[in-house]
Amino acid sequence: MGSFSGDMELLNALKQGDNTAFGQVYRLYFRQLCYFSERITGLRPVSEDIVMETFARLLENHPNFESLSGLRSWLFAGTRNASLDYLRAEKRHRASHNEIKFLSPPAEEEIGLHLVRSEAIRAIYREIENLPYPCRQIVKHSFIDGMSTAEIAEAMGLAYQSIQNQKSRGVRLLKTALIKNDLLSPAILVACLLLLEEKSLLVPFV
Amino acid sequence: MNENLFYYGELLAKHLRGELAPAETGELNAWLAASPAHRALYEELLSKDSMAAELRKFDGYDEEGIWEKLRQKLPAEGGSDRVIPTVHRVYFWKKYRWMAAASIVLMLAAGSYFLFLRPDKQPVAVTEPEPVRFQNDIPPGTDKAVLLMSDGRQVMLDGKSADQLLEKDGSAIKAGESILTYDEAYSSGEMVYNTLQVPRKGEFRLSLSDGTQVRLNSASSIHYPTVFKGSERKVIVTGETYFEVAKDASKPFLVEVNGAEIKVLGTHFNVNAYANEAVIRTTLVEGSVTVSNNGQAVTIKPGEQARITENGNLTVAKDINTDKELAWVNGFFHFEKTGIESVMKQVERWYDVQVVYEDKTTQTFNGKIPKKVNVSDIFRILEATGWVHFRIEGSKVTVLK
Repeated sequence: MGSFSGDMELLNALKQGDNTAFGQVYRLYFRQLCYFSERITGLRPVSEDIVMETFARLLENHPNFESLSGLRSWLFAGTRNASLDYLRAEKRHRASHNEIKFLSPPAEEEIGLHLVRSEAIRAIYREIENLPYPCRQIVKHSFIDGMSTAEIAEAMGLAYQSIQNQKSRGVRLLKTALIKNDLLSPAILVACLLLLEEKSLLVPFV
Repeated sequence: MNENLFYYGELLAKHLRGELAPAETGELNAWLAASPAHRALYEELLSKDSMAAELRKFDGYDEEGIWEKLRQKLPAEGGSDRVIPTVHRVYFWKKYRWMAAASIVLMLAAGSYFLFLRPDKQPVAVTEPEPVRFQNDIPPGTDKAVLLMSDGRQVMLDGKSADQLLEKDGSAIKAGESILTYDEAYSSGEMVYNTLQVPRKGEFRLSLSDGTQVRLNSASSIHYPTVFKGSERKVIVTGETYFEVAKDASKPFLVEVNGAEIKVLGTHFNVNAYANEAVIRTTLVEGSVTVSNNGQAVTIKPGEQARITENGNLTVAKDINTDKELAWVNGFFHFEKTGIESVMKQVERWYDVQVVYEDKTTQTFNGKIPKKVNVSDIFRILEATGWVHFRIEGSKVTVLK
């Protein structure tokens, strides 16, 4: 997916201040770090800011990493610390305003679970992202946005044709657990698979 | 941070995909047995609804916006803007999106006729655009608005977090991700007014206390009471708004727009009254409305449009393509014999850009393009006609031949 042939090449380029490498690392971890931080702070805009600062530090300090997982640990540790700092500051602030709401920082065990969870969600999300275009969009619309087949057709400007008679062939093709765990409606899947197979089904929706 | 934590996360995901090896199953089971909290997380991720909710959250982070801010801190490299990592990551899907766009291109054609794609033919192959044809791309608008409350408070609604607000008359306002909702139940005392303003590059929805649904397009606003009291329901709007008015024969619904008034009993209609458009257009989809201005009044039927011109004249146009008028509500730009200036006015509002003309084509455009795409996608489609070209510099767009 990226333009670097391996982890080491990416890390070397990053160390030399290569912007493309930095961008790639950003794309790799941004969402997961935000999600992790939001689990701790409870606020999306705050978590986005914290993650932005973490990446800004990466840019300024050029720390040395021996492996990609070392870099990952650095990013997560920085995000974790900044998120906890935020909670502490917020707690002082609230105490000084006589608010009753009590924000105690989460226990280490709980933070660890946030990380496990973020990794699991990331893996599923990436699974969807890796699907080829029309299929991915349909899966996203149906699964993530909760849209109906008709709404998806309208949103994507597609019309579905002769889906029924080709069902069985399609279902065999996509072997992700999203089907196995019944996470998608069969109609969507079939439509999705057919779109993958036959471009002629792409009909402009006028 | 502890590498094991990532590993268990990976195991959970593998389990969800049904790809766990036997040895891994053992490891996962041991982990699950270690703590009730582990088990609880596992159960939660297995539930379809909560997984969808978490993915939605994951999908919602502003990767592009934060990148834009970070990009300003990047060291200059070869003195150009070319290092946009999106090119790498999005490469794959951009390519396909372009193909989808190509099928739309085919509907854009000269004069007043459409070219149709024959369903039995493969879409025409389109050469891939050079990766950085437009160096400064601009993402589409999003759900956002500002609520002005009666005590002067300004609340940013950015489509990211839900909140509950309280007005001084006691009415509760629910600020959702893309909709603001008022509830009739709690109000007391005299009428309290709020204003909802949608900036350029934004859109938002409003559910009034009587159940009337309002959609606001970019650069539009509405002024309304938290609860309707008295014998009528009256709101004041600017810009473009679409109404689905809740039926209440005893309380007519009045929309004031630029001094003109639209009176309705319960109906669906669109009002386009941008200050930079020459004509105020009220398009009726369902029901019946009366539009009055300067002592003139007309009542229109579904499929008709009342037009108030700059000099105040009131006319009625029949056989209106309501799909086209309402395309924005459904997330599309819809052009039908539309001149370049009118096309660009819509682009200006949705992408918050300033448009400058080096050349103006007299050709008109037909076609339907989804709004949730970057401005470069819109431009590529329009450029495919060969009549226009575009240059993006910051937020300035130059239209060329």
